[in-house]
Amino acid sequence: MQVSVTDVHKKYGSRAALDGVSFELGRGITGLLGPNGAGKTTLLRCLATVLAPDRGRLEIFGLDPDRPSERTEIRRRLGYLPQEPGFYRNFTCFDFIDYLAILKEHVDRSDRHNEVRRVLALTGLTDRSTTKIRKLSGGMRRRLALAQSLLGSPGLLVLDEPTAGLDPELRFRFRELITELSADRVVFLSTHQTEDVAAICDRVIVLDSGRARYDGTPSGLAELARGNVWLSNDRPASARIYWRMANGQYRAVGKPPPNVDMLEPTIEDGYVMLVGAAGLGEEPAAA
Amino acid sequence: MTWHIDQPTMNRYEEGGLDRVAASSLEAHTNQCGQCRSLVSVDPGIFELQWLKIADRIEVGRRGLIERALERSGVPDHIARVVALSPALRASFVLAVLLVLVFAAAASTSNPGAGSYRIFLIVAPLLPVAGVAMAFGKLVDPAHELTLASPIDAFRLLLWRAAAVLTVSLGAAFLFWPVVPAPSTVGFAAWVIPAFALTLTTLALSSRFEPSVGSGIVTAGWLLVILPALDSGNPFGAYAQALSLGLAFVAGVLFVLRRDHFNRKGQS
Amino acid sequence: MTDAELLVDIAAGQIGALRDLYDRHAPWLAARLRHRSSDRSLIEEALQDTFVVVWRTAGRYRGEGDVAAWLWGIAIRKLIDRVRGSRTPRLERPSVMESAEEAVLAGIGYGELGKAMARLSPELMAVVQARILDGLSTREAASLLRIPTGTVKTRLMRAKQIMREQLT
Repeated sequence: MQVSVTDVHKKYGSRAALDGVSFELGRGITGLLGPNGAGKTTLLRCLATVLAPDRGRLEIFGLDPDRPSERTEIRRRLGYLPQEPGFYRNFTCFDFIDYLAILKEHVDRSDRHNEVRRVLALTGLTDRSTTKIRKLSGGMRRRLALAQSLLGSPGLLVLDEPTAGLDPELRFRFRELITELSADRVVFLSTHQTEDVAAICDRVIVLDSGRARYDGTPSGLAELARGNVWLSNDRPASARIYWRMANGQYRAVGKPPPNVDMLEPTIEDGYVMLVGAAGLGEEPAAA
Repeated sequence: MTWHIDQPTMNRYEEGGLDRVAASSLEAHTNQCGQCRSLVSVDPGIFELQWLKIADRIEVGRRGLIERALERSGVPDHIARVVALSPALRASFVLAVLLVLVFAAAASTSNPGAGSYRIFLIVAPLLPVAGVAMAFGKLVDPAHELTLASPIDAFRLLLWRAAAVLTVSLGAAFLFWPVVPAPSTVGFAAWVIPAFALTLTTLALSSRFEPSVGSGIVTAGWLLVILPALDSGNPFGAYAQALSLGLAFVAGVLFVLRRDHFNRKGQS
Repeated sequence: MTDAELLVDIAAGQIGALRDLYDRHAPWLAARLRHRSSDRSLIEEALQDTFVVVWRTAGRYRGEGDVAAWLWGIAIRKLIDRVRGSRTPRLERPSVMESAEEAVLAGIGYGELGKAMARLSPELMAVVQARILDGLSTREAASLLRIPTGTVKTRLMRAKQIMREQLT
């Protein structure tokens, strides 16, 4: 396994952002699903070697981020898209990526420029290379942030909510882009939207209150809700959560009353069952 | 178009085997006919290389004044790029520094008999401290998170930028120093040594706090120490300078010892 | 896409469009420049200058004449600049080609034309090439050929007279 996280803890004051998280990552796309405040960004920052955990071990490509020289080596093979990627708004796309390429130790000028153009082409930004960042739309800025994470063809991509705030069409295209780029790499992305998980993830980890509540396949997550999703004609009283459907009926998730029609569970249903369960203090689901 | 060029003719043209008249006619024709233009032979490798040179001229931004000055003094271009990006090397900072110095120098000359020259000695060392506050850190650098995650050594980056800040601030201060009516016993060491001491202390503190916080602590500390001392004695004499030197040394050592703490948050 | 459409995209800041224009035109421009100068490195630089100018001034192309002719006008002038060692941009405004003579030269084919132009001495031929084929102004032709502008005018008149006699 390329990445392993063992019993990682991180506290901010009295609040535990990460409360003993353990998992492993291999090639392919793994999604980190969780509500806001679950500790996703904290975990991703630890994996991006930007933040040191209070306790626990991280191992990336067999290297230990606590050791400075190994940390530097990890960073050479890492691509990171933070939640708020900061831009120098007066820079052009080319200059911005060029600067980040310098930070990533691409010292030789012509090699570096080739690499800059390569990642701009991968994200479809070739024709914006001379545009200033302040003139770019939000979706294009997100693409630019993704482009810089691809510099040096890293073996590990850590993406913090890459599709957040994008409108549906852009989200769709972004997911496609990530899928294309995930061949032969470890991709770890966080999201609070189950559609992202359903669309592109080979594996999903559900994080809530600093703990991993689920670690397995997306379909396995859906299975957790089997027998707990039913159709109701009236507003279901016993449901943990429900949706009103187009035909006026309700789709309910929770403990079903007797004699109701069961529905096929989706990933979202499983997620709701899990996160709700954690809130009620029930046992976390096994992997 | 009533006639077109055939490939053998184009080949002869390229080899220079057509007489002037025929060549001229071919050229006039290709001015208007794309079909015949495409008969020209192409060496893809060479044209690709040529294209990259064109793309470089168009896409690569013009280097700023300071960057070019750095490169000309022998700094490799990638370091120059990174250093020149310090907020402290922007025109706005330089202008602010000059403005502060103008006021400090003017205030220094306002009452020479009462020791107003000491205003300059108090203000000058704080300039590089302000510069360091702007050289690094999430409050001033939008791409700070990405910088942290990069393999580049944040310690060295900060060092380069601090050196640039010191050069600019102290260089500017030297321009104004001749105007300050200090007594002959007070040399420029009276403010240069504290400048280094305060800057190094700020740098050392930056391994634990945000640079802006560190510089705030240092500025407050400096004023708290110096201002009361103005009444009771001469805080710029040899003894004080020796203390500054000692502080500079300790801070410098701490700064270097904690070099691994600049590129990761929460590192114990 | 047509060349003119590419220029619109170039003016909008799309470097990909400039690449396409380059792929289409750089080879023949280079071949033609090689018939004006034997210095390969100067030609390379002139070609680069040309496309950098195109990037900056694509919006100014107003559709007069072929894009190819416009490009050649820039390229030959850039070559002259490089040959003479000057770096100041000269006359990036394209000059209108003498379309009548051009059409004659382009359309007839070099059979008839050959007979006509073969009667010209090298000096007259050089002026015809500079003024008509390369589209240079009288002053530019004069500085390229290192002769006074008056001489350019008289030689061109003489050349046209001879060619007219041959063609009719």
